[in-house]
Amino acid sequence: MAVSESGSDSKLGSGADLRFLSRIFDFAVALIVLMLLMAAFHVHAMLTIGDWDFWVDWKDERFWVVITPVLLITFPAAFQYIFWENFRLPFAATLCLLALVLAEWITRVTAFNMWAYMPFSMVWPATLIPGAIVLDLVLMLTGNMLMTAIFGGMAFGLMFYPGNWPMLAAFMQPVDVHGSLMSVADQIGYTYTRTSTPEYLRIINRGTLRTFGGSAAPVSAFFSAFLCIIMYMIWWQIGKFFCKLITIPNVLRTHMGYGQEEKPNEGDLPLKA
Amino acid sequence: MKLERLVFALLALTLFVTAVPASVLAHGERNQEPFLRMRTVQWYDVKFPDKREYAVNDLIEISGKFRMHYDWPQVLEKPGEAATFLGIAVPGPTFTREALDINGKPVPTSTNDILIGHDYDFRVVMKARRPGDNHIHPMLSIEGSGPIIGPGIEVKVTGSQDDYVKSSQIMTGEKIENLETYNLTTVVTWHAFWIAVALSWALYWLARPLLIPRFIMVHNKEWDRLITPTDRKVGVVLLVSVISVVIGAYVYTDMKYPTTIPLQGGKTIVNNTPMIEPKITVSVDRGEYYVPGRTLTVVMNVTNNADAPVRLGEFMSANLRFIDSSVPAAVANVDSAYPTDYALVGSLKVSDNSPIQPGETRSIEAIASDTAWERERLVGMLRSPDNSFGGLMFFFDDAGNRYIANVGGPILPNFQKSTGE
Ligand SMILES: [Cu+2]
Repeated sequence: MAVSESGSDSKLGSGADLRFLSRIFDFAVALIVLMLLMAAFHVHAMLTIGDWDFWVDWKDERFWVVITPVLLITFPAAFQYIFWENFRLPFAATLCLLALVLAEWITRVTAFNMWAYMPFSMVWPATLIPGAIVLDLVLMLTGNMLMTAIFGGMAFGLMFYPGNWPMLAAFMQPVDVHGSLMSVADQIGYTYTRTSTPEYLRIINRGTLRTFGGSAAPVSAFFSAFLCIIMYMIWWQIGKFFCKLITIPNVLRTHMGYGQEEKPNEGDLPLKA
Repeated sequence: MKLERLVFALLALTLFVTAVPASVLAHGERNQEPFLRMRTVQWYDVKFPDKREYAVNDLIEISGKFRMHYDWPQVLEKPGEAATFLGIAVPGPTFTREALDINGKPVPTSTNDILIGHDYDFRVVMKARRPGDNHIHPMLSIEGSGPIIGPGIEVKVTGSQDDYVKSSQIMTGEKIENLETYNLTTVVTWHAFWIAVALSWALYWLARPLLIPRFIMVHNKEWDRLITPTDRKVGVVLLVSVISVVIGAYVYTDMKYPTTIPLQGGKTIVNNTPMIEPKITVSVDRGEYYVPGRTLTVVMNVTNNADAPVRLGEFMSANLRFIDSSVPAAVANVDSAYPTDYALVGSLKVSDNSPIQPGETRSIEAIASDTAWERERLVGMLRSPDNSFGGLMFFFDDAGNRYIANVGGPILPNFQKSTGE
């Protein structure tokens, strides 16, 4: 019988009290996990995709499209394992990307705009929430890691570019700046001075032969989707690794007057109260 | 290499983000190693505006010339192979870049056409965006070497940043009122929409008893109570909706903006002018820095291949101009708007500065003495593993014509007494 339905009194108190405590515990953990993700996942994002997400004139059709989903499917995969395996909760990926985008907006407002004076048109972040929701839903509907990796991971990679295109498209319109062709994004990057960041530091698509119909984005999106599948499986295992309870036997136990340590059987966990 | 650049970019970002708020009192370039300043980009004939006070949206222009030093430090990548970018050294976007020109042509992106030994005309036009007292300098960034900062001035900007406007014109006809806020409504709306969807999905689960009951249910294998048939129905509807919104919005956006281009990352072509054969050549015998007296002494053979007798009027190195006040043409060459902390009139003495006749070769001693050596932290060259100096020597004839000679060589410190032949 689950705690939530057990009406009988126990040592801890009445069933209503237990339900209340259990909810307090839920919200405390939810808040901690959200803060943890906002910090840890955001640091991970800044250190790996960094400039591609910071600046509008780095959001290219090749590196940004490939690198962003591949490096951001990591935490969602690991947390999906933890949430699913222990609680059958299918919103880990959504929570990860929600935490990330909230943390990103906090820094874009406070650090990039208020502290370093960058305009928002230059420093808005990308979103991966649509792909994350799909990733969660595939896991919920299939209940299978491999299916989630293949279909969810692929969707996560494929949906990144079209999911952000509604925000990005206007910045990719052509302008004539002193006789040179630029996109609006290029012009923003040219105009707003990043003092020690000369233009050659941009790692963007500077011309490639590997395109279909002139655009590199579809090729990049499919390549990214493929890598996302592999990345998902690796990080699912990392989530699994962190879920293992590792205990170290007390080797001095017998010298302290105790007997040998007994290994508890799985069925003995005191869950049925 | 890629990783190196990424790391550098991150470091640069950190540096400039941390460096932004302070209104600096001194010129920032003195934080760079002396050999970087003395033997790379020689900025000269730099013209500053007379005005030192501006309102937000005012334009400020700095123009002039630079020469890429012949004795480029070995540890640095060679310009030409390495990309070069002309910019401005200002605290972030307190000033925006309106125009960056080299040899009369705009250089909006990097170029590989800046070569050792050549002279270039440059022009940077910036627009005041944020009020405050700030330094503005031209700057040439060279891949693998870093930014080489030219001479600069301190200007005061008044007004309000809210009044700053930068308009633009899309080639398909639409006018952008202000780049600062362009398309922001769309961006914020989409973010708000997806955040709302994500929050709803999370709250859908947070609304019911969560961790402990579910952990027990998982343990008891009560699968149908964990994910209910309703949950599955909601899931399918949400899945179809999210995918439809993404596809629908993508198709709609493509119709709304039919003409888009990728980011433009091509290199700009700069037209090189032929190198000028110097009329005056200088070969350095000995360079010596007398530490207590803050004096650089250069013993050198000067050969005059020009048609007129010439005198040495100025020695320029690391943006410092040591000028012999007994040469009127050299003094007249200093613009009234030129900052006095760089133009050190009277700090150059020449052992025998009678005119060097055409065809004559003479050994002379140029003595550049000023506390600026210390102030600009150029004394650090003595602690450098590559102890040498570089610069330009400006000679003048009676008609006021100027002849530029390259100079450079090893340097010896003298910690004790005054030098003298
Ligand atoms: Cu300065």
